[in-house]
Amino acid sequence: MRINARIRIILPICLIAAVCVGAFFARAYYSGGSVACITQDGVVLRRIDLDTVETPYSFTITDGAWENTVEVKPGAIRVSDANCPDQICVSNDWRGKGASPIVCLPHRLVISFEHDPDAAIDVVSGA
Amino acid sequence: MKGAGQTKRLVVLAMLSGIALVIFVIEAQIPSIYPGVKLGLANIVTLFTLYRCGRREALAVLLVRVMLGAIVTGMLQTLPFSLAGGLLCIGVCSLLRPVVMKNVWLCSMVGAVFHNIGQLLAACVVAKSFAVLALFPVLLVSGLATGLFTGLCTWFLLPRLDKIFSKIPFSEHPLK
Repeated sequence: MRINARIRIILPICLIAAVCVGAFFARAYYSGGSVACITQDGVVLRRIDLDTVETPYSFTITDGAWENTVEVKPGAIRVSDANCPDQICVSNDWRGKGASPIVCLPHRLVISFEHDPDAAIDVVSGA
Repeated sequence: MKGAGQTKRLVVLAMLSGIALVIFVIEAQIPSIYPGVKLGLANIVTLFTLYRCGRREALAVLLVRVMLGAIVTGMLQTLPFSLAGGLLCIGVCSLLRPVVMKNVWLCSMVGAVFHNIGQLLAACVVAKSFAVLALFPVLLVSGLATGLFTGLCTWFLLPRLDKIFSKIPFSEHPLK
């Protein structure tokens, strides 16, 4: 019965470990670049290369009654104002290169950070 | 006698749902440390019901709490996420329960992580974008921490409420 007792602890820990591995693969795969990709309802609305932004500006994304005001400054982007009920997207604040995405689930809006599709090689290591 | 027992069971389950709903509504007012991260205090009640009363009862309490919680807090748009997370969590927890009968906190941690996975998958479907998955590590770490907390709460609660609950005929009595 000793093995059984051990399994009782090991099994949940293995489960958590497997999920951890998945999590970091997901993070590595879906983020990292400096191109902010604004997607609403699965449609890409804009791609903004944050490295090339020189003067700050803002614009509003409207879909019916849904409004999200997006502000861009050199190297960073945020949702400055929105009329969604939970305001989670606004509280995400400024995010830049390599950050996890800004998500407004009520409005199905995702701002994710991608690698530049034109640049075939992102980084060449010195070695 | 059987009818009286069934009535008691119904009353206790309604009360548990009520407690869960109140905790849920109060918790919704507390600002979170990181956007989208919540303590999930209402899950103490769900987990308690799962361990003390049975799977079917826990499912009932969860569904009532999620539905009424969405209506009371006025966040019907986030209902699919709570529902997906809650159902996946309770599914994994009831499968895991016989394995970790004594360590409620371990079950709670795994459950919390799967709650977040369920929410993320629902978010992927709704937003039609897999980029949402990049939020996974943050939710994973927070899920482990909050799961440990709610699990410990349930762990301390179970022996203290045992006397009151032992007279009511629930579908299961997992602790015996």
